[in-house]
Amino acid sequence: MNKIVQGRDIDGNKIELNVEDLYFRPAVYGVLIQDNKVLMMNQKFGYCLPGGALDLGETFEESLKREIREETGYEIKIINIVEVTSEFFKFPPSSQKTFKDAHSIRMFFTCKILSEDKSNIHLEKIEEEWNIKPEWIAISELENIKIGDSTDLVSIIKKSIN
Amino acid sequence: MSNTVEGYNMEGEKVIMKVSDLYFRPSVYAVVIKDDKVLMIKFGDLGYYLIGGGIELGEDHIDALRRELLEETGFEIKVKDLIEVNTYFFGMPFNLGSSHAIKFFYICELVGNAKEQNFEEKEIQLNAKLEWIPLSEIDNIKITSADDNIKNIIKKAM
Repeated sequence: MNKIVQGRDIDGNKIELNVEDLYFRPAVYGVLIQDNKVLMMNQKFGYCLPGGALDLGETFEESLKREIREETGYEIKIINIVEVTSEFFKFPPSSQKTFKDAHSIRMFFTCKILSEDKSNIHLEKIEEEWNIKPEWIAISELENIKIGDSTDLVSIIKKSIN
Repeated sequence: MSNTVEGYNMEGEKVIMKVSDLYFRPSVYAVVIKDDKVLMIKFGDLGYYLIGGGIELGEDHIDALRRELLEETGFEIKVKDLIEVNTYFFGMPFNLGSSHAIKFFYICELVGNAKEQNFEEKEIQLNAKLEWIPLSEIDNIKITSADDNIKNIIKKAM
């Protein structure tokens, strides 16, 4: 295998990453659709889907429920898997989490909202820095917003509708 | 979260693992069904599992699936639907520690002509052999590492 892989930074710029510098970062994201709107997280770099990295020892169900609760206050039920992507990612320098580059394996699930309790919202330090906020975006508006993510989230959202 | 998780080893025995000892091991597997039979890999007396294996650092998961299937079956594949994802805590054979497995399952089709099979050294030591199992027999076979959810995944793919 090549020692170099093509990756991206947070602004979507292509960047070459050394395979030796990579670590596995499995992450889970939810696609929640209600009344022709999709729940997205508005942050410094644009819109993304709610979710985040798995902790060691945590199942994907536990992780996705925790991430969505902490970011949005919603309790959810996972319906099914829509897409899995492999991506190589350079974290922005402000991120304290790791000095290694990520071999992200991202899992996107359709979910359904069961209940809401805003007092459960608990953002990580980096999410606060990025001013991350949940927002319902009309499906018809998806082409007009700035996606702050290296993955084609619009395709994934459309795939979850079908 | 608790500091330990419950998992299984290859023999299907329950193992308690320290979360601090875990490492992520993403892997990808194929459900290949043809003439009412599913292609599985038999590890001697330990039982059967779906074909596939670990994703390497820097490797796209679909490339990993193609590589593993080429090694294990000698065939190129057509990758179809993603049917399931699961998380599993696995006491690895060969003293490879405790893994936090993330498994992806795809329906696949074998295409073209078979090339040479190339099992990995560890698979040879585990006496790995491919076998087509009639779908009607799925409930009666032993799955390695007590991962009986594999049976549901095969049924889902039918």
